[in-house]
Amino acid sequence: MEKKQNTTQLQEKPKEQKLIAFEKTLSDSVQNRITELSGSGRLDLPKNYSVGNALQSAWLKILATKDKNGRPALEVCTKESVANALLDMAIMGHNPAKNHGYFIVYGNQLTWFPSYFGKCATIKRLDSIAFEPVATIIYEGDEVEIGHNQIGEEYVIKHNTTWANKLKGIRVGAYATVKQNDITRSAIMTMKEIKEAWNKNPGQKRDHADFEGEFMKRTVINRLVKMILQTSNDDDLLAETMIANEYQHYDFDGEAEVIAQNEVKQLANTGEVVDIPLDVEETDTLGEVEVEIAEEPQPVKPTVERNRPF
Amino acid sequence: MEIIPIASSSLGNCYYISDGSSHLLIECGIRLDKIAKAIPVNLTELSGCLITHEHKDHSLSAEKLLRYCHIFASKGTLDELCIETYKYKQHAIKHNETIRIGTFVIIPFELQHDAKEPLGYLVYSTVTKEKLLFATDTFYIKPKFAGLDYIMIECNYAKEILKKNIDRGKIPKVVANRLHSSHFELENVKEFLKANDLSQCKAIYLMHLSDGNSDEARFKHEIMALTGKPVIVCQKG
Repeated sequence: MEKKQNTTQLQEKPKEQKLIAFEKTLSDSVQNRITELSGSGRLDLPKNYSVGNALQSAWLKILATKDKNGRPALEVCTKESVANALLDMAIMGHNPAKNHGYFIVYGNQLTWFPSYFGKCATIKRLDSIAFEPVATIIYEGDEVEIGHNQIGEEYVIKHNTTWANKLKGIRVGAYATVKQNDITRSAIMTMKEIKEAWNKNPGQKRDHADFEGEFMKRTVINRLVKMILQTSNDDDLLAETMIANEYQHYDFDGEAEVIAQNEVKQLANTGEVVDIPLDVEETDTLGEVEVEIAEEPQPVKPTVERNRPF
Repeated sequence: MEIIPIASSSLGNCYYISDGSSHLLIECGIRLDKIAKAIPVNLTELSGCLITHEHKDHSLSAEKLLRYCHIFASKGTLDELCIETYKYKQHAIKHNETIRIGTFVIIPFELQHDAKEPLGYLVYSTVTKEKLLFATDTFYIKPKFAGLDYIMIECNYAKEILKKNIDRGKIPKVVANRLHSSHFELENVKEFLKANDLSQCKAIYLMHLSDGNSDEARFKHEIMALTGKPVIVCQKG
């Protein structure tokens, strides 16, 4: 709390008051909505999760969030999108202080982007899941035995790796496993498949190259999470929110169009009138076919030297 | 004012305007011999050439043209063109700063395109007292204008045609995504025309129609119906 006050004190006073008021109404409305949802039994938040704490640390993160042009998120994003991002975060039981995710600006929309940790934490809260999913990397030379589980899905029965294989460090694939209703479910991806998935989001190319192993784990977990969510019977808000959130981030269809159109709506034909200055006629150079660039007249400053008699 | 659209497509753009005293080129994105053939004066008689941005379909013969006339473009555009010869004939201009080329007075303004520093031009002739607006390769125009006599504006594609082409697989998604934030869509052009004063307008030139995502007859008809002004669609050349 103290830290928060320090941050806002740096701003100008009216702006600061406005910000505090905005934060208060926002967190109030998000908190009310959450209480409403859990009251009606649509949402079951973990007992140790405090919405208030999460919202407070989220607010600090949002204050520091900028869009790709370096403008602060709160100036760019619509109020509705800020509220929705916070609601998404709270429904999924995430806390930005625990690196459960990040706030990302798309055009004028603020979104909550759950991290790998966040996803694991949430998936654990689905009724059918006992333990959180685990991702493992397959190195060249590893022995992997693949079979089919009770419902006919491919899963990893056995995986033997050696220290030597790990040291060589040639990654050939990865898989993630989770137990759902006592059935082991895996998402298995070869290196080629993982790279194809990465190519869909070329913006992160460098991160992918720099932290290949971690990103591979993340990709297979994402695949597993999608598999479970899409076949999940959990008729609760949590699964719904997670699917909607996934959709927001991974389905880029038409997004470019929406962003461009929003910009057109906000900025097109809003500028000042550009017109030829009236005094142009007076300095008419009729008939002269000469290239000259009009320069701003420099005011002549009478200097001391010029006024001296010599 | 005499306006000759020489070429207008993503393969090359070039337009000639003259008020009888001064002769200007806007864009030089086609081969120089073609330009020389198409304009009614000698290359050396040109007062200058305005370039909107560095993409080759707008600047192809800039280097050769410098031998004959001066070139005007934003600093960003000139930097990207990076022509080492005739430096003194390359003039860096800024948006909202009035320049004079012969009998023309020109005010550049900002465009929205995926180029370094694209500019559009408001051109006024002190001879004919007419104003011409030139804006291409932009997905919208921020400023507004008053008392335009001629409007030369890009009308690249129509949303529905583009969508159809994406669905059919004719246009890759990546290309389409770029279009949204770099070229003028029909509806946005209409909004632009609605937002500006057209009372003095004598003609509207539609430029830079896309090959597959446009419909010349439809665009012409719709803009004419909206504005009640003569509409000329610039041909590929």
